[in-house]
Amino acid sequence: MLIAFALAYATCMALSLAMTRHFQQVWPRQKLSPRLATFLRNGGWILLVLTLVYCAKLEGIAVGLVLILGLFSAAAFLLALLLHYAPRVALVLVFAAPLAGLL
Amino acid sequence: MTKTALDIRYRWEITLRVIVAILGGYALANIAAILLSYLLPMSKSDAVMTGILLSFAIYTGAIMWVFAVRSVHKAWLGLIAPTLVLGAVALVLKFSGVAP
Amino acid sequence: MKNGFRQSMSWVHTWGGLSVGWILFFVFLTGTLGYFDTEIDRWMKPELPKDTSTMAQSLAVAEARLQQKAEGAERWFINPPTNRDNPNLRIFWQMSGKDGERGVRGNELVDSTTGDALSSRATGGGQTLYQMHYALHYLPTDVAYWIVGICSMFMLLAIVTGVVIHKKIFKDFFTFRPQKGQRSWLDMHNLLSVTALPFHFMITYSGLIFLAFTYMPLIVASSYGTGDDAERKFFDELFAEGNKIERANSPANLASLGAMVAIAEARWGENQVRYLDIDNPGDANARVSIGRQLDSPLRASPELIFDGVSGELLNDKAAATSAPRTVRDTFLGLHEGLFANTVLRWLYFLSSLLGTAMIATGMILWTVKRRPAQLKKANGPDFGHRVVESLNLGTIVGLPIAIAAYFWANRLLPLDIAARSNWEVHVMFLVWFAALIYPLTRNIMRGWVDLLWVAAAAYGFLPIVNALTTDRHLANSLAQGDWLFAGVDLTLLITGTLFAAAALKLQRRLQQTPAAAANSNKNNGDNNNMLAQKISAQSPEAT
Repeated sequence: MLIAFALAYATCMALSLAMTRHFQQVWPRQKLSPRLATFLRNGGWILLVLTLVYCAKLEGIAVGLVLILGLFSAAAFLLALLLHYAPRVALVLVFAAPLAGLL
Repeated sequence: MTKTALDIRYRWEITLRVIVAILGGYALANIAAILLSYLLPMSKSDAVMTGILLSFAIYTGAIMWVFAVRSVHKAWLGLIAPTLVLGAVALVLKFSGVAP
Repeated sequence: MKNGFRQSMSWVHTWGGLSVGWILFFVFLTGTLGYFDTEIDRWMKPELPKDTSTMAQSLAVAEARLQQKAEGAERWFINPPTNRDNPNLRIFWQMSGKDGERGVRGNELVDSTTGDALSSRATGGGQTLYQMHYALHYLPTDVAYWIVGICSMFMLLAIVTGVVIHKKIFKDFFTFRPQKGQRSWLDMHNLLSVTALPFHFMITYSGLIFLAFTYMPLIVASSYGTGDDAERKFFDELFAEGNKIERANSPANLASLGAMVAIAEARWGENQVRYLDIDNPGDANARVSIGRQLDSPLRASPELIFDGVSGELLNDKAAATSAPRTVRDTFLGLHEGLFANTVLRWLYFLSSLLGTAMIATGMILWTVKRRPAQLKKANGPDFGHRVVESLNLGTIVGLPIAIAAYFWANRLLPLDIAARSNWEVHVMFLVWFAALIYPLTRNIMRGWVDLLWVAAAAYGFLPIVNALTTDRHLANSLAQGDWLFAGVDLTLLITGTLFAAAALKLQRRLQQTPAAAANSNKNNGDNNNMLAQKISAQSPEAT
């Protein structure tokens, strides 16, 4: 389950970082190049598909769909708060969550 | 502050829209769902169930429409006309024996 | 309307939402708790033992007890303790009725080890809280269903219009900018709404479908006619339960339930039996239907149907039926979330909490937007505005306090008073009433601080009350690995902490500018700006 959450969270991170507004919450002094933005956005969509496939494998397609929607709600809400209050933590969590899941 | 004529007219218009939306919308949603239940090629109970499932969506759409449209007059007509037409069709279907 | 599509939809969203917001908050908050209704039930009945029996034991005990209490019944129903919904063995029975009337019904929780009925303190438990979610309280159910239905329709409108008027819904998806007054409240309201939008839409539409037969009777009548018989015909055809087998009125022993369960478990796997539905027990025409655990949002179980006397498997009934029924069952199944495992259940709880906060922030946003202009008025804020502000405080913080009071009453009311379970609920509504009155006596901003502190104490001290009145307190439950009790106590503690954090934050902001908490008539532009900032600084975490 932690892996599923980690995937959902990573998706949200990628899609949010593809926007200048949020990129600059994490790296205030950097500029978001259009190429990086596209890369992050595409990566986000790929991660979204991966998350769906993972959840479907875990619980079947019906429950998997419900699960993924729930995970995204939690991940997106958490990310929005972290991006403001603790952007570095937000970033670290992308790596920490799957690690915790694999352990 | 005294209420200007415009003020009163605005409040009256809003009140009318609310009434038309709630009552007229309910009427349209029901008639549309009933007609649908008569026309759907499934068992009677399934058709009724389908009509019921869709009725809330129709109701929501109707209410939004009443507030989106430019004049109250148009709102009122725009609900009543389809309701009457669909209702007539439903009645015809019922009395001609096609519908249950 | 004249001003354009977005503006007219905005009007519908604002006024539609405001007019029923407090009832919707009640419905959402009790519904949120409903996802843990069984857990709350158990916490409120600390005397109940943990059930550690085997399936064979449960069946034997259940059958014996049913034989004792309901011999010759029309129907028996057994819920073995195999899933989260039924932590203890539960039995139902329905006796035959006379002349088409429904027979006497009864149900009991049974101790699987002793075979006696389980007794616990008289309490409505989590079930009562959950039932308020659709049936309110103190009202006839029909009236309540209509009120909840109308509010749900308004909710549906609010959701759809909300999406329509949200111009930058994708761009603002992760946006939250606190400390900016009205902008922050809007950000939070949007965030809560959009991140859990699929849930909000599903829960509202499915809520309407739950009671759709009440709300849309004309559609049924147009095909089946009016009257109770017509309605019954519709239900019989729709739910196609098949012909109910009549009693033969010749006694015959019920075949071994254990053997039937063994066949079911062989097909489905261990612990997959959710219920046993026995028609005409003790009669020659007995039937036993064994239902499977729910493993998908479809709110119907596959069933194995056995001849009650010979034990022979007669039918393997799939759960899926016609398309419209399946759509209905899926909507209802998604709404109730009975199929959800622990993680998914917590996600349901979280999404529902986001929805509750969405409603709260919407109501607060309404006042925050208008407060600066209202404070400038010669005689202070309008009556309507003050009513909304009081109702907001009294509901958004008052209702949580009232629910905590319900739990306090559960622990503190003497066990032997008459109508004890009713009194627990009375306490809840009395406290809510007090919370609704309180804002009228106090400056509204200070009122928020006060009630937030009360909420912090009401929740934070509950685990201590638990420890003082029972032995199923946090220390014990952690030691024994009783995650149900530990979970409830920990959630109460966390809730108390969050309320305390909010109270502290708001209190500090108010202290920074003594003139900030103003109901004053003085036309002070600076004060109003700072006031807006104080209000924005208050943590949006109000539930």
